[in-house]
Amino acid sequence: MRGASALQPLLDALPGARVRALVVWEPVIWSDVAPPTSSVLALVRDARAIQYWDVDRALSRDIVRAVNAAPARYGFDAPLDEKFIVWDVVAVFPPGAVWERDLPVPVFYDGPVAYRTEPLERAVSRALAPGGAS
Amino acid sequence: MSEPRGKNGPILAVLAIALVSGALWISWLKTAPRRVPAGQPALGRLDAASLGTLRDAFNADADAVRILVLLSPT
Repeated sequence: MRGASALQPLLDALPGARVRALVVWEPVIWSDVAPPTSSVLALVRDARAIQYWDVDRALSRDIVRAVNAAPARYGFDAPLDEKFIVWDVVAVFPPGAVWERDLPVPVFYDGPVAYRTEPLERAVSRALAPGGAS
Repeated sequence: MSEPRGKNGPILAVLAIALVSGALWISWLKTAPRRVPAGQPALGRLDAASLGTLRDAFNADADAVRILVLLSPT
């Protein structure tokens, strides 16, 4: 949840920038018995955000599937455990990246989100720069 | 006159109240309407069958920088 609080200041610092924030909430710990409440959803108030409740952790499973199909493509030496949960992670994709069967390779990913705000800001700034990506 | 309760009676009563309150709270949490901030589309629901909606949203803004975040709500 603190990751959401970290995301909003980043968006505040980029008014008018061509940015889309896709915020996927998923149940991970014992207290995640329901979708995020309105007050939690309000932590990301930027109109450029779209928020989702992923009750089955479908996105996490799809990312693990994609990584395990080609670990080196995503910078991994070995496949992930099939039960690995992709959680408290942020990824940045540059203009032009298209999600076909597998999620494209991000130019940046890291976590926990709340503690990686500075490298996240740098990655987003680079991606926004003309012709910028990696 | 009623039967005198056992000494565990008050404890059991408190436990029962706590359990019922907890169940009601969880039920409310699951069913309460969710409001997203102004300007955002309604909260999307994802599962294995509807993951394509997220993919479509990702690709719809292919000319933008996309920030994808996976978080726990509590």
